[in-house]
Amino acid sequence: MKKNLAALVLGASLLTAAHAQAEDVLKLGAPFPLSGPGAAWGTAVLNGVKLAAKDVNEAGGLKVGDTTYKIEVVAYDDKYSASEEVTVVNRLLSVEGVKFFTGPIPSAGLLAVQPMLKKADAVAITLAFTSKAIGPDYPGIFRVSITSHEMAQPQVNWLIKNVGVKKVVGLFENDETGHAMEADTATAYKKAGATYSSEFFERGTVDFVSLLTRVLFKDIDAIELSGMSPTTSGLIIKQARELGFTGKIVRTGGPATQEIVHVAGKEAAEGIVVHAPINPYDEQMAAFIARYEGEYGAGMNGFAPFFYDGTRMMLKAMQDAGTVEDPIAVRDAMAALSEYEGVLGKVSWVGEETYGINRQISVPFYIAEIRDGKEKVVATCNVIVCE
Amino acid sequence: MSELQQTNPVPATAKWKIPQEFLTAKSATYCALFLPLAALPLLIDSSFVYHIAILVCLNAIITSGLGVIVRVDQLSLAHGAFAGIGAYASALAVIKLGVPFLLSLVLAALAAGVAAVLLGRLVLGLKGVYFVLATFAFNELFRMIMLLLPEISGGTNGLSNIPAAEIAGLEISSKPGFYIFIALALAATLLVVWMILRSPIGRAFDAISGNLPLAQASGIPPRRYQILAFTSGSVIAGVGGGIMAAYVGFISPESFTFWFSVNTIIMLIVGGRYSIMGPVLGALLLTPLPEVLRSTGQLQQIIYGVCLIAILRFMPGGVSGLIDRFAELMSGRK
Repeated sequence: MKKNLAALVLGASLLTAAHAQAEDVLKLGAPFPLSGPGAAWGTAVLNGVKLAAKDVNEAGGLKVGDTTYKIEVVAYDDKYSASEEVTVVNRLLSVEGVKFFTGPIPSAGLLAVQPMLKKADAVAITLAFTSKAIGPDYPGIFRVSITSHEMAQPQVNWLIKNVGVKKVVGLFENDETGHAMEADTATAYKKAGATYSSEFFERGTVDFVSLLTRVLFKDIDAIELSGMSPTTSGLIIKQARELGFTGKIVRTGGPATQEIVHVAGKEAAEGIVVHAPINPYDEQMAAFIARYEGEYGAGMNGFAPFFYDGTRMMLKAMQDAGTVEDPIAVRDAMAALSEYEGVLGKVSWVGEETYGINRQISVPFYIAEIRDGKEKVVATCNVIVCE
Repeated sequence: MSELQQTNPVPATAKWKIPQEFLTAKSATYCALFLPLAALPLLIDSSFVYHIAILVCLNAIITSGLGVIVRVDQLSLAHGAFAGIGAYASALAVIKLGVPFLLSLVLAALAAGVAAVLLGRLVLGLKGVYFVLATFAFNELFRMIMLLLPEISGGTNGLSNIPAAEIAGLEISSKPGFYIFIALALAATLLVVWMILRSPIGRAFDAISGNLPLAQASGIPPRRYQILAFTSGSVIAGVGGGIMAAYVGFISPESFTFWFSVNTIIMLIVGGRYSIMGPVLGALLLTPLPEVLRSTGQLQQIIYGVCLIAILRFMPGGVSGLIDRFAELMSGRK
């Protein structure tokens, strides 16, 4: 009888503990492309978010006011599609009760859910490249990536001066993201005095032989991959080299080196000049990369630390605001963060001049050359110049 | 039902009695299945359940249009384009001209109808795979044109912030309100399809699909009926597109790729392509399915594929075939 009673008491106390714990969970919505051509990015940024949540949880949870919260990342696949994004964000808002989002990342997906996020006063971080991603109409949306709009011109100027590219063809996915990058890239090359033209292909294409054959007939000395999907970049590099193209291949858009080396192989990837959002030789970043690789057993995509820092800043903002119930207070506290010490270095928000609101991340970025499958930083950039 | 008989020009001959008896047994089964299901979102009252229910109705409306086209033995891969034409026509009418929502749906129907007549006259002479290819090309053409006309279509940025639907000054942006509206729209669509298919026009469709030379020999002009079926189906897709634009509030050329058409075909085949309720069943099964699988990441595509293969393997007549069989058993006709 005594035993039964003890068991009952133990059971009841466990239930109470479980109940208390269940009450103190803070859910972060993670609508990312986890299948299809955008999956490499989606998985990388999700890992960055998960690592941030893990670090906070292992340190005892997130203390906001008198309550300590365990962070739970609720990830759903948006398949890189605008209509799926609407469904996923709807589900996160109404079923999971999420107010804080670590996505979406595709431009079309973000544009489709902006009104929904605004209506819910939700706070979100994104890497959507479209110029409409952030603005005074959507004060809850913060962009934690540097877009082609910020980085195209200084990088292109450096490439023309130091690598000597003159006749360039840019390849882009024929969708919202691709066209947004094309506009910035074309402007930058033309402004820098290069002979430039663009070609578009459908997202998810795997055979580029006919497109590349046509492109190589133009007697070019460089192919620009801008910010296309990482695996697609690898395929294009592999097929261009197989077709005998010996000119420069450059990539001034988002990070993709791991995937490029994986898909194209070390030999084909040798000498490719890429945009590097991080400096892997920086001590703090090197430690983060080692931790990431230890955790996930795979090379790190350069967007991951941006989402790690973005998530940590969102959580810090909750502590500063002293609430997880009032997203507007959290949003304002997040916007007020300046010179935040993250793995990226000192992180602040800029963009008032271009977008009308300070919601654009400001961190240094780099130009690197792929040597033996690894990035070797050759220049450090800000929005004005690369040196 | 009695009103329908009155409006139907066909006299109540002995021929009519058989389908009527058949319909009664089936309709009882469908009512028993669909009425509680239709009421379910109102009872659960969750925003997400409403959202899924709205998508089921939307997909069912658009797939019903394809169901009409399939009746004349033609498989259109341009269904996404017609939904897109309707969506853009409706959204632009609301945004640029301030047209009321219901009138914008009429414009969506008109735009899709005119485009379907023009395309139909060009390509309906083609048969089988050639027709499929021509409609595929049209879908791509539509998407490319929309991408190249950013001042009209918003280009790759699409059209965002499309105003919420408003009927008689009453905004139906709330999910329950929109659900009731779209459920009624689906019921109206099914009624229209039912009336078409049960009329002499529908029988002419069946004759053309069953035996084209015989139909021609019997004095049925196949081209005219094929254009009629193609136009009616595309008009339904256009209206569906218009409703979609108002509900989602965002459209872009990427919303209407040929995958849109392929998904519609899958819903039709899974539901049952020769049943009026087939599109509803297909949408009912395949719209929520990705939600169940969503958290499985890459695996979901495989599971979805296996589910599709299983349905097609074990239910070749689609889910409606299974329900028809069940209805027959219930009514004692084995």
